[in-house]
Amino acid sequence: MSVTSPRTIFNSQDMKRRLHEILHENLHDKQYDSNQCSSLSKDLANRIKDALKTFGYERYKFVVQVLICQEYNENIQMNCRAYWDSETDRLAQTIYMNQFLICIATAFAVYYY
Amino acid sequence: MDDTNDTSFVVDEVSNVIKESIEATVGSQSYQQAKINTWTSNIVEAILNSLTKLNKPFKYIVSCVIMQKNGAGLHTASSCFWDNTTDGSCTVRWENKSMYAIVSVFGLSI
Repeated sequence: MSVTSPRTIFNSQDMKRRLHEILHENLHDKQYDSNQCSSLSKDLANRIKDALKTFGYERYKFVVQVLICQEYNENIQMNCRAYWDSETDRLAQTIYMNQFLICIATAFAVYYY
Repeated sequence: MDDTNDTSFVVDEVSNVIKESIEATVGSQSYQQAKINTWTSNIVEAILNSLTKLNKPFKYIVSCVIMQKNGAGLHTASSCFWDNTTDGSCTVRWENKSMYAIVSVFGLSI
């Protein structure tokens, strides 16, 4: 089995900036609405995945997770871990808040040897 | 020779791993602000340890969200760009009287 190495490693900073732009464009004027947020979270996840593809990283697989929760004085804790190759694989995460909702978007980039 | 079980993501197996880890960590507990950091870490680490023991050629991503039950709404969605024949994901939603736990596991073949 031949193992390849990435020509360019996924850049978390660029990704984080792009994630924040996408969230701001789509959420700055939104309130939390149960029906709307269901399709909004799926839509955001797809948009982010499409944006990741435009960056042109070769041989990278992407997993995007979007979490939208209502701003309601609740306590929430999120934790994630990965079992991967820290030399090639990266994560970019951003948190967007307005007065009605909180959105956490995480993009994982995993290299395929 | 059929070796698809050794090289594909088996959702049922992973789902059981997730449920056992959640039950073992927070199964009988009530929501406590001071402890949820430890709980989420423990759940995630226990799941990763169990998955790596399966010895499959996969990279794993595990994510856990614990939320207090107080009437707030929560939506989560994921979108993946991968190989549908070998890669997969499993999300388990669990609750007790005082909290919700949502755990997602993504497995990507190497």
